[in-house]
Amino acid sequence: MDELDKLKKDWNKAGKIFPSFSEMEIYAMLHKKSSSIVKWILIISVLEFAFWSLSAIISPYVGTEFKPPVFIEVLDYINYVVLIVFISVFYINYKKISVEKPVKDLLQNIINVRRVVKFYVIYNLCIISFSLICALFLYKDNYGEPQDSKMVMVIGISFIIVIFLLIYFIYKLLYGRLLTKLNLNYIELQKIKEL
Amino acid sequence: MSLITEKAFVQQLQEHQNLIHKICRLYTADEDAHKDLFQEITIQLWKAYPQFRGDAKFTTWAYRVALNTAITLYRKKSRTVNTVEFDSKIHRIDQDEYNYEEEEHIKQLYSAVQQLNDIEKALVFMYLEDKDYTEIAETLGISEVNARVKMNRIKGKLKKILNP
Repeated sequence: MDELDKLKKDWNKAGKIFPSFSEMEIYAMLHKKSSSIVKWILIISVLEFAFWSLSAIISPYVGTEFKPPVFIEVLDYINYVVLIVFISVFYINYKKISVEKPVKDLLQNIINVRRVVKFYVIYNLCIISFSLICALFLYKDNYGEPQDSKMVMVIGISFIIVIFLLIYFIYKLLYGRLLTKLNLNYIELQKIKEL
Repeated sequence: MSLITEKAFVQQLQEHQNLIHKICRLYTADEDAHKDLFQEITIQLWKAYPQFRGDAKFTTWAYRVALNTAITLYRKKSRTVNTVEFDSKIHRIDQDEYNYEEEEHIKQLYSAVQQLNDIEKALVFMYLEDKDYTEIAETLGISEVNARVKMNRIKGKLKKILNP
């Protein structure tokens, strides 16, 4: 008899040693709020969509006399379309999450939901960096003194790098703990598949 | 959902709550976490209840949802864990049925299982519940052959933990 079979003998008696919850206690539990990972991913994702959409929609030229070139205005419209596409894909993936699915499928669904938001953030960072770089060039061409241009570029690019690093660390902190367990379990199931 | 549905659900869950307790036993190390996980499983079962078809067995449906909750959805709250106290409390209750040596060995076995990862614990749970490999494979989303191979490796791993 191996170790697990010995445990099995005890296992069937294990039920009676736990405190039993009454119907009233179970009723009370039904009305408590869930603190599941999916709920937190949803809350953070909605906040992310709102934050990054606002950052992308609010033009850096608002309140200035500067009239942006046509391609920047076109980019603004493209941004609206991209936002709608991202939110639709996010919603479709979110609806696919079902706790009755096989463990692997459920993990895959949650990771997909997260991935959509991650791509949206990366997309926005690229757009914002591109806009900042364009703004730097436009500023240099229209207002900057030739001797200042090198310094303006250095300050501008350093600013973009600092923003990228800051966002990277915020993400590590925000999702690090939330997704570690999920990723580990998914990798473990992938490994089993390779046995 | 109607009050009748809620009553039916609560009655079924109350009747089969041992199943949920067993999963909580494997995935948590202290009483508070045990209760937290039990509550989260109850909420997830209730949310999924409209999809439960009466032709399937309540327990079969419930253990799937419960395992998924323990493996993927449950977020451990940070608190000081006192595993030893929890273990001894559980085993002290039925000490009359075991002699000391047997009781100590079972305690070591539970502690060895606690050292396995979440997926390995799920395999152990289903093995202890006498589920066949077809069901184990289907629940986890892997093939039957992979489930068998992994189960044998877990047995080896447990042996190693117990006899280092």
